[in-house]
Amino acid sequence: MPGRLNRDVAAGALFVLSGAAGLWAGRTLSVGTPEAMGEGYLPRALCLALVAMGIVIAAGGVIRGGAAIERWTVRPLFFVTVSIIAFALVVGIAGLAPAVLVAILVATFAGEPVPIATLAVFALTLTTAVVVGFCWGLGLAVPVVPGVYL
Amino acid sequence: MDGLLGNLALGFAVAFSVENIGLCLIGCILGTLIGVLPGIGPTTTVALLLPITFYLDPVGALIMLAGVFYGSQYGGSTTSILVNLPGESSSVVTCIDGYQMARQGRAGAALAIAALASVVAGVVTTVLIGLAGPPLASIALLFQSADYVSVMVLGLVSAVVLAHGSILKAVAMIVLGIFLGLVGTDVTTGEQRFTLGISELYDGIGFVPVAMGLFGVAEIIYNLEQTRGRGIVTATIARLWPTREDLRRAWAAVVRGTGLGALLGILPGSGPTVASFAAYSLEKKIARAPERFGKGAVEGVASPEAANNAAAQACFIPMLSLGIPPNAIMALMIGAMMIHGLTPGPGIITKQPELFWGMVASMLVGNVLLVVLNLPLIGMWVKLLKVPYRFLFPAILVFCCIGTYSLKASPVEVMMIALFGVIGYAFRKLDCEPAPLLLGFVLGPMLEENFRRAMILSGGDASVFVTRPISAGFLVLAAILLVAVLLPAFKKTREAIRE
Amino acid sequence: MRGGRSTLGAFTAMVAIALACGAPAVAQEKYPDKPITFIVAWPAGGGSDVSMRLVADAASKKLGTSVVVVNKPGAGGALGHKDIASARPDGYTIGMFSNGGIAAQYNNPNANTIDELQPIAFFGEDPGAISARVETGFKTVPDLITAAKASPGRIKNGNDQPGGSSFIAIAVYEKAFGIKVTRVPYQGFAPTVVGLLSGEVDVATVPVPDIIEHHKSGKARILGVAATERHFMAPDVPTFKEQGLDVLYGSWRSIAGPRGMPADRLKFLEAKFLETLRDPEFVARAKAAGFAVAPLGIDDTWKRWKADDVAYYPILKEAGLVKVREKN
Repeated sequence: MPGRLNRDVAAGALFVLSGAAGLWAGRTLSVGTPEAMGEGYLPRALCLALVAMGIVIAAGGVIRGGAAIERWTVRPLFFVTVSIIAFALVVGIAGLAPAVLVAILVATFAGEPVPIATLAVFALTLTTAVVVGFCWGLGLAVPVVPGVYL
Repeated sequence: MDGLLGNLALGFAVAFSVENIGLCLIGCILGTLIGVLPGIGPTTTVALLLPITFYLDPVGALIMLAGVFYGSQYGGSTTSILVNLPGESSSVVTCIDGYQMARQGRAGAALAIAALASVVAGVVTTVLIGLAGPPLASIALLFQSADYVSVMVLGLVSAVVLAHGSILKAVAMIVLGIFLGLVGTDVTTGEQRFTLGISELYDGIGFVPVAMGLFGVAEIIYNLEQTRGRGIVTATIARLWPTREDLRRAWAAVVRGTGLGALLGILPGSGPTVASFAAYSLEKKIARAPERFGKGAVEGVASPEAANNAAAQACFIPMLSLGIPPNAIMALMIGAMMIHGLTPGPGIITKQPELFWGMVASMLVGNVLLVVLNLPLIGMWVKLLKVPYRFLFPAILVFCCIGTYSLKASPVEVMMIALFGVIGYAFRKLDCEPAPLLLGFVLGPMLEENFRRAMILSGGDASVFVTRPISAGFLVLAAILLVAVLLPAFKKTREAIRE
Repeated sequence: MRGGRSTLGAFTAMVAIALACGAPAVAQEKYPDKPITFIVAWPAGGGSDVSMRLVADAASKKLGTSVVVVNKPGAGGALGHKDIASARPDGYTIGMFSNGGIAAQYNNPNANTIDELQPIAFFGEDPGAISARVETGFKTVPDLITAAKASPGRIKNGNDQPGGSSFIAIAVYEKAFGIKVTRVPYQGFAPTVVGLLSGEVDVATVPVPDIIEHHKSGKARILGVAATERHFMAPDVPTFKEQGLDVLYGSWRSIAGPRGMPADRLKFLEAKFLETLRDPEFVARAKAAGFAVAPLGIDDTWKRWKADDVAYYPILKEAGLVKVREKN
């Protein structure tokens, strides 16, 4: 995406947005006085600083220009993220072994293709190794499948 | 001196019993192992081991638990160097140059330097504990809330020094980090902040998912993208061991890192992390060619590794001689002592000399055991990098997930890894470095707590930060460092990573 | 074979085998035929964890199955309490409930109320205390009261965050003594003790075991304990009552499960835990670690929960900590 939106402008915008989001989310927190600071004192100060610095960074990017933002590739970003989320969703319901298996299978889509047979052997071996290693070896209190502990 | 020798003799008599040598070895092996596994840190392991200590005598139990702790400091740098995954806040800095060394095919050298730096720092600091432990412990009592604030400010300023690109971006990342660190229940008022009604966020965002996401996962996504799914190809490994030149560069850095680590380690809370950041910044600041840093400088591995290991040993000082735990692990060790009816405190050294001196002696033994254990392992770790990336990265992801899940059995924390992975990837695209953010994140809650407490105590008078000599001293140091960063002469040497 | 999860593999296997003779678990249809999960809503190594691990270890022998402690810290105990309250009520998941859970009901919308938990047994109580830095010159609680009345708000007390047990302690004392101090919050007892020793605060409301070594070494002085009897670790320290002050305060721990457990299993658990808590060997062990054991059954435990629920409410309200579930 070469164009006006260079790295500095985007980074500045990101900081401004974070600061603004923080100010909005913390709008009900009490600020208090320096002697008895409320829970909102420091967060608000930090968010204001973020907004200010964000503006300066973005302005610098507009005036001086900056390096263009590299292209984003969706594939690894998507599958790596989904793999982790899948683990989180499965582990609580079905236990560690299915969660590890699902996470590995989803993750492989992020990289270059692996032949099905190789993938099956790899996924099952890693799952077994990981489950035995963590549940039995390290004694983690996580069920392998619901109700079964090693 | 006689007293010390007599005490050390007593200590070695305890440490060299067959049982205690065995426990020390078990602790060191376990520590190395869990240090290498991302996520599962020494805190979890010591917690898991706690019930076993019911059946051991107290000295043996503590020797083993201590072994796990400092053993994990050796193992902790391994994943930082090999796959850019910091297991603990104190090994964040090691990622910067350690991982670069690995990508240049110098993983073996980086691992060896880390191990050697750790053993030197460990032995020196342990001797220091034996020589001056109890008097040194009282340093911790000189520090009040205002002083801690200034120490942390110095730490944060040092994070600006270690950044490469724009100073302003580094400062903004620190501020964002502090802000993220404040999510959760406010210690002072008990109010919830930015928790969005999610109970898991009441205690704040966990360090492990943030570190894993920003470093490890973001790196995986970036690698896969850059190579169209093929993943990194590490340069061929020229030689496994450090060159003479590497060692020459490293030794002075190790000495400075040890000194900084031993001093800062005595302070509760921030010790090893601030020490490792400060040590790295010091090296970069005094280096003749600071532009080498961030591109695989040996000093960038040696100095923070020495500093965090020295600080890790030094935190035994307040634990053993005052009964004050400077971190969660030392709190666990106190728990282990309580199980045996021992209350740590000023009386423990005189009442239980075999416990104190036995531990000191075993730490010397353990550090030597660790280096003997770790050096031969390096060859194996380096081979791990030859595993095709398409198999390596799913394994790393799974380890991250399990490691995080093992901490609190919380799926929300696991999802945080994904969230921070995406954030880390975005920052990377925008030339914003994650290390300063992480330091802000770690220090944020402590900074705020101490800042507000200092203000409550001073009745709202901010001059307390300059009127207390300790605090003023640290602030002056921070100011000097900041001026040095802002000086144009220095600015010229800061490389801009714009291609 | 023990049915339990091993801890740290091969090494524990040896310990487990050594213990196996003590806990033969023949396959039986009756309860309990598998390990019981014991949730501790606090991190490993703290007082709650250590005390409950001692209980779990001793109870394993009485129950004939292993009791596995699982730490589920977070949100002032609310996350762990939730796991207990929402567990299947089959008697295989129980845990610890302490007085921190009383305050959480009112300031955390996601916390469980005491009605959602089933008391099983009362472990014991750590009496409240107040200690002073030696330099203050305070020798008794009345010394402190006199000084505090002379200049309200000048004396600084170290305590934990609002709603925590040492916070409620100072609030209770302030109210009872008619004084006003500046409450300085610390995260946990150990940092509070450091604050006291470094001279940052003048007094601190930490429990006796956390300060006893400094009391003995003369760096700090425990002024009094808010209990009916003197503390076994500090027999030289008089109670508040002995000093003419009628105030009682303590933070307690109890064993609880989800509501709706089968009556026979509940009775069984109560009986076995009471047996455990009264076992002289266990009591000696707990005492050495600094815990006073005062077992109570289901009904008395429930009475204690209710009593403190009533007693804390006005204090929490005054501190602005009642944000949900207002009472009339």
